[in-house]
Amino acid sequence: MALQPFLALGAILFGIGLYGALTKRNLIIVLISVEMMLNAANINLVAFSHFAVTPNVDGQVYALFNIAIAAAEVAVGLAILLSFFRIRNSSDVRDVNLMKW
Amino acid sequence: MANALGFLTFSDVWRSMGPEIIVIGGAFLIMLVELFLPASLKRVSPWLAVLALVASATVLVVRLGAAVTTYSTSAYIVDDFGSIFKLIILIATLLVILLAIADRSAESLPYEYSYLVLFATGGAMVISSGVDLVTLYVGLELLSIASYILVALYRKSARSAEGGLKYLIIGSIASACILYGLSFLYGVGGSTNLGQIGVNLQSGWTNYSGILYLSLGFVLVGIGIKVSVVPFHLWTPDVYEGAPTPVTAYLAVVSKAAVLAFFLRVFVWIYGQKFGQWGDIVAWLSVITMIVGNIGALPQRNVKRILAYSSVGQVGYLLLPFAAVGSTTLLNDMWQALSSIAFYLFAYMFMTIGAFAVFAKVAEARASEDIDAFAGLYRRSPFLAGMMAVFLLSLAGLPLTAGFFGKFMIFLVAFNAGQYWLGVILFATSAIAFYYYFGILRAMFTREPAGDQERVRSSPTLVVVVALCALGTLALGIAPSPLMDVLNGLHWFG
Repeated sequence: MALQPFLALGAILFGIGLYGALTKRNLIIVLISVEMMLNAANINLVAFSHFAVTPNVDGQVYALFNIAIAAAEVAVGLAILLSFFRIRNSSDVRDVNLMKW
Repeated sequence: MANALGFLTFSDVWRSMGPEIIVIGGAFLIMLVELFLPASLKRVSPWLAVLALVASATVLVVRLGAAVTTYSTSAYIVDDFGSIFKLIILIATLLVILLAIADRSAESLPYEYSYLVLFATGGAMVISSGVDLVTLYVGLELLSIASYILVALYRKSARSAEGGLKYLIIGSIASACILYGLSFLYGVGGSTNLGQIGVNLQSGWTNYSGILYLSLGFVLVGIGIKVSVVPFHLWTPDVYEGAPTPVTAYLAVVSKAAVLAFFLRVFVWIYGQKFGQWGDIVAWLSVITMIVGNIGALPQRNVKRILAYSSVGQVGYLLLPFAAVGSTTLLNDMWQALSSIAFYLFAYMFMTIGAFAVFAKVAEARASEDIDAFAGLYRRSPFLAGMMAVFLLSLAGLPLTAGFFGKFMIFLVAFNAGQYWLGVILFATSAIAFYYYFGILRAMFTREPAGDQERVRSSPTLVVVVALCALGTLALGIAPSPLMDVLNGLHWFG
C-alpha cells in the first residue's frame, strides 16, 4: 500500500464533512459532518505516521488525543442543541434565525 | 530527548507550568466546592476564581524575564512571548470575572461560569506556551469547548442558545480546518514538535511545497474564523449579541489574544521562514478586516453589535504589524512588531472590557441593548458616561488614550517596513470608526433621556472594574513608557 490512497480517503471525508456542515438542514447531521472532518484529519495523521520517511508514533498519539477531544466537543454540542431544542422546539438550521446582520 | 518521561519530577513541572497548574487546579477545586456549597453561599465561588487568578499572575510576574526553559522533551516552552500573552490573558480574565460578579441583572449568570472561565483560561495559557502541535491543539480545544458552554450559559434565553449553537458549529469547523492543516504539517515535517519540524524542513522542503501551501491555507482559514478576520467574520456579531455580556468581553479579548498567540507561534516558527509571500496574504486580510469591520458597524443600532463589529476591525489593527514586517530576516523588526502587538493587546483589553462593563450596566437599567438606552446617560450617571467616553475615544484612537498610542506604534512598524499604504488605511478606517463611536457619545451627552430620569446605580464592584479599565486606558495613553520599557527588554522567543 502507498500513502496516496489514505490521503485521498482523508480528503474525500473532509470534503463530504465540509459540504454536509455547510448545507444540511438538520443540526444533528451538521454535528456528524463536523465529526467527519475531524476524522479525516485523524486518517491523515495515522497514515503519515506509518508512511513517513522516518516512521514514528507521534501521529498516532496525536490521533488518540483528537478522538478524546472530538468526543468532548460532540457532547457539548449535543447539550447545547438540547437546550436550543427545548426553547425553540426545532432542530432545523433555518430556525437558528433570531439574530441576523 | 535523553530525559524522557521518567525523569520529569514535579518540581520541573511546577517550574514550567506553575501558573497553569494554579488556574486549572483551581478550576477543579471550585467545581467540587461549588457542588457542595448551599445555594446561599454559592456567590463565593467567583471570588475563589479571582483568588486563583491573582495567585497565578503573581507566580507568572515573578518569573518574567527568566531564562528560556523547555520541558517534557520540548512540548512546552517558557519564554517571554508566552509569558506576556499569559499576563494579558490573566489580567483580562480577572477583569471579566469581576464584571460577571458585578453584573447582577435579573437574568444573572449561573455560578458555573466561575470554573468554566478558568478552564478556558487554562487552555489559552497552554496555547501561549505550547511548542508542540498536540499541546497547541489541545489548548485551543480546551479554550473553545469551554467558550461554547459559556456562550450558551443562559439556559432559558433563546438568543443565548442560538449564539452558543452558531459558535459551536462555526468554531468546530474552524478547529477541524486547523487540525487538517496541522496533519499535513506533521506529514511533511515528520514530527509534532515545532522546533523539530523547522529543522526537518530546512532540507528539501521544496519537494513538498505544495503540501505545505495546503497546510498553510487550512491553518490560516481556521485561525481566521477563530479570530474573526473578515471573509470569516459573519458569526461574530450574532454570537457576541447572544452571549451574556461578561462572556462577550471574554471572547473579544482572551479568546482573540490566545488564538493570535497560536498564529504568531506557528507562523514565525514554521511558515514564516518558508513563504516570502505570506506577509502579503496577511496584509490583505488585515486591510479588508479593518475596512469591512468598521463599515459593518455603521448601520447597527444595537450597541453590542456595534462593539462586536468594532472588535472585528480591531483584529485588523492587531494583524497589521505582522503583515507589515512579514518575512523579514531582521530580528529587530520582528521584535518591534511583536511589542507593538502586545502593547495594542493591553490597550485593547482595557478599553474593550471597560466598554462592555458600562454597556452591561446601561443595558440592564433600561432592559434594552439599543443605542437609545444610552440617551441622556450623562444625566443619569455622570460617572458611567464619562468612563464610556474614555473607552470609546480610546477605541477610536484619540490622543492621550491607550488606543492612540497603540495605533501609533503599529503605524511606526508599518512605516519602518516601508508599507506606507497600510499605515494610511489604518488611519482612514480609524476615521470611519470615529463616526459610529460618535453616535454613542452624542446619545449619551446631547440627547434627553427617554422615559424615566432615574439615576443608574452602579454596584461597588462595577465601579472598581470600570475605574481599573479607565485607569489602564489613560495610564497607557499618557505615560506609556513603563510598559514600553518592559516590552522592549523582552527576549520574546529567547
